[in-house]
Amino acid sequence: MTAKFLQVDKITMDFGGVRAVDNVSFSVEPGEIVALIGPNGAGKSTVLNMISGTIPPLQGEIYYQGKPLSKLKGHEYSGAGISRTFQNLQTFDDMTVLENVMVGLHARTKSELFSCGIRSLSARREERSMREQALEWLEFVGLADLKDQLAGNLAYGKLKQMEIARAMVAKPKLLLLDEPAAGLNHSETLEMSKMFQKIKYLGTAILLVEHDMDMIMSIADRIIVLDRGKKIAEGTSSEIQANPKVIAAYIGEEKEEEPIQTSKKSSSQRVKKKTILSVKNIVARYGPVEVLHGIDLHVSEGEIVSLLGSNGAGKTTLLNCICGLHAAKSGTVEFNERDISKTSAEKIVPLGMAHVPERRQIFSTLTVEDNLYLGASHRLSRGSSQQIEKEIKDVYKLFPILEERKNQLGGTLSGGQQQMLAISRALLSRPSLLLLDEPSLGLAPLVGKEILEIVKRIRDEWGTTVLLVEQNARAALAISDRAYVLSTGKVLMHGSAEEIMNHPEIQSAYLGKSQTFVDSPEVQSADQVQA
Amino acid sequence: MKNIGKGIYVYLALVIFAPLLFQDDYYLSLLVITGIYAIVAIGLSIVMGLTGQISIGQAAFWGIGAYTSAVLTTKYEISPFLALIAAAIIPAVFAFILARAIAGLSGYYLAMATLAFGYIIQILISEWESVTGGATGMIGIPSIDFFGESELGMYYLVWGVVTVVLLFSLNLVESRVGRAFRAIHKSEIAATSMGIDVRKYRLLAFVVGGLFAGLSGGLYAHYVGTLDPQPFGFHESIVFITIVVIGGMTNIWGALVGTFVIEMIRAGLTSLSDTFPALSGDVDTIVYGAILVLIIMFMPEGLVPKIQSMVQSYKHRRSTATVVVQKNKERETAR
Ligand SMILES: Nc1ncnc2c1ncn2[C@@H]1O[C@H](COP(=O)(O)OP(=O)(O)OP(=O)(O)O)[C@@H](O)[C@H]1O
Ligand SMILES: [Mg+2]
Repeated sequence: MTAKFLQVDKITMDFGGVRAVDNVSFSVEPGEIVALIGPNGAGKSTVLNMISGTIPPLQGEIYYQGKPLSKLKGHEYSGAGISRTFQNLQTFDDMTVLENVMVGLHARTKSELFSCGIRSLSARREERSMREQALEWLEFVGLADLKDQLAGNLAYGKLKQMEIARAMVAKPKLLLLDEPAAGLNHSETLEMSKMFQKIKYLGTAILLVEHDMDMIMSIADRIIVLDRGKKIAEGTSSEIQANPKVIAAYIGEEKEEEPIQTSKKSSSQRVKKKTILSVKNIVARYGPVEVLHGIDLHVSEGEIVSLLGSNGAGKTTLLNCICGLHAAKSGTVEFNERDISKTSAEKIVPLGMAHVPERRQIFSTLTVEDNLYLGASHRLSRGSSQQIEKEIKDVYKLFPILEERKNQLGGTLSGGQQQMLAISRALLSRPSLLLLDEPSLGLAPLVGKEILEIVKRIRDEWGTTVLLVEQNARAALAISDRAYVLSTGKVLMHGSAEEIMNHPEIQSAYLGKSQTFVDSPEVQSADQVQA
Repeated sequence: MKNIGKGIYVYLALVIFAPLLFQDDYYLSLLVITGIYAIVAIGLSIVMGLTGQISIGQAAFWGIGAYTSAVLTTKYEISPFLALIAAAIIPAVFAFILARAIAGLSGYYLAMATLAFGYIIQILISEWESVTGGATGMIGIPSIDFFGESELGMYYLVWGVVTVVLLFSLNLVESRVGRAFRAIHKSEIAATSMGIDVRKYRLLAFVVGGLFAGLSGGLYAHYVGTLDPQPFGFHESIVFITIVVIGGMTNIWGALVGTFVIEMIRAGLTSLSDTFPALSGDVDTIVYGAILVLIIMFMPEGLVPKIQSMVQSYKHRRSTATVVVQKNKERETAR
């Protein structure tokens, strides 16, 4: 065999009798961008975990620069030039952003315990150079101004960018990315695509898992498709887009440039209904940093209202303030004409509000089914358990994979499966108001489209009111009655979904065109980073 | 120094001038004991707070250090300063062996293993009569001549050691190795993928903790002059944990502040028990337990981090207030 840069040779992985990855082979050339796509639970993250040394393959071998990777210990991969990011974020929340990135340099630095403790000359010199390199990469990903913030206070999408800086600072030859664009809006995704092109021109090969098809199609040199652990296709973006197997399993039929339809009827026909949620002048901060500067918002019964805005605009914080997870500094939240500003989160749930947080927060040591029962726990006394069993069956109809995996531990589900579980659990609490923080995050395109359909169906059938945060603004507006646009902690504008959709500023910033192509990479600025 | 901040100057001034305020030997002896405990606590906050490994056996390393120094000076007439070095190294070796043996354990399992280790060492000390004097213990351990054999000399020696240990640890936190410790605490998977050898760094933390505890044990032996196995068991291990939790595990200063709080309570209880005999005995355990519960309920991050965040938001409020004032002024002048 001619020594390829990365040669994955018939790797296989089992989890408790389920074959997660089945005899998969492929290769990556130096400086190539290869995408790994496929439905939720197809085994993409598992493949990345095997290449990055997080779990050893059950069978098969991975050759890196001609040598078998099984010879390396877990902590030797970084030094060998393989860096990665994680689907479910693995950030060091109590360190600053800069420190997080500096940890990425561990394998490239030497200072040991004693010289660190006495701050020897060499340790200080090394520390200074680590700081400089980390800063360069923070600038590269656009987070330099947040360098002194605690990572735990950053928005999801920013953390995704921070993980890229943390991986790149080690100057890897192979970068493994697990859903880097999850949680980013349209223009942020474009920025990230450009960034990957630059990384490519620096000579780093990228193997990425991603559900954002626009991004994949525009940057990937080659695409590999997995389904149920097996490789079902490999080729260029046009080959893959035309492949019937892939369309059936993953992409779905492309309706050419869907005309934007907002649910006009519902909004105009609806007589003025009573306000279910009213938020007045909410101010919130993390430590000393104020992130919401007086937000006003109201939601009427039976409405679907979208919250749009770029990463770090404060959408997640606002939802957390509403459901009692984050204590607002001032302002009031009224739910069903009752002031709940000071009520704690667990007391709010029985009032009829359910929250699906961005970071899912499922119970990782409980089975899927127990997670679902917990969602209904506060109703157990009232509703009969038969009723709840029936509802769980209904939920299984929405997401058949959950029924298949009902005895699997929540923490071992794939990213997308966890998302389905989190949404299902919230539905089982039969809320009158549902707060959804990026429901399509990490879901395959087919399912992602479906999930918003499901949201609409839930509203139509059960009358559930929905407050929705969603990066796919176009899709979110299509099912919404009204929308608010947040920008740096303030309401930039609000109005009917239609008004927002047709607003020129919004169109350029959040909606974009449906198919996008990336400009040629700016090699000059990439050089700066290399220096 | 810039990493450590201005706090260190306040600290140095306090350490240097405190004996002028407390010339009474009783208060000075309280401060010496506080220093001795602080050294162990700083080591434990590296093991527990930074790296996230629970150790319920820290008093054992303390005891090994104490007996090493005591035996070397009384039986072999080695100079106390050399004995102190051995008192640091031998517990560190024990810590190394223990950490090797329990590599891979975490959470409850680690807690149980260190608990068992603590018991084994205490039993060993009581049973190995020919060397340690068994349950009756050892007497006549020479005191240390540090600019004269005085309470004051001992004060400056102990607090000199505290200062070195403190600076070393503060430096460590903000360094490559300290970040590796903290990274392991948060996510072993991520730490490994950044090239951090998790086992190695967990072991290193243990060794540092053992070394500090042993050094402190040596000082303790020479300071009190007599030893018996009683203080080197479960009770004292829990006291160390309480100290670290109260002060704030993730902060090295927290270990120092926590020690002060606990020692003040201990001294208060002792003096109260003169008037109220009911307060003698194991009442301190109950008080520590209660404090531990209260801290975990109301201030889980501990004293020092809590105060830090309060100061920060106060500063922030003041700076925003000045901005507002300035803006108002500007508006007025504009008019
Ligand atoms: N530790 C585990 N125990 C049991 N099953 C597991 C474990 N880890 C993964 N699985 C299962 O293996 C399959 C593949 O998971 P993987 O995370 O690789 O999927 P994925 O392709 O990354 O999906 P997604 O797009 O949702 O992230 C899933 O069905 C998952 O439930
Ligand atoms: Mg995945």
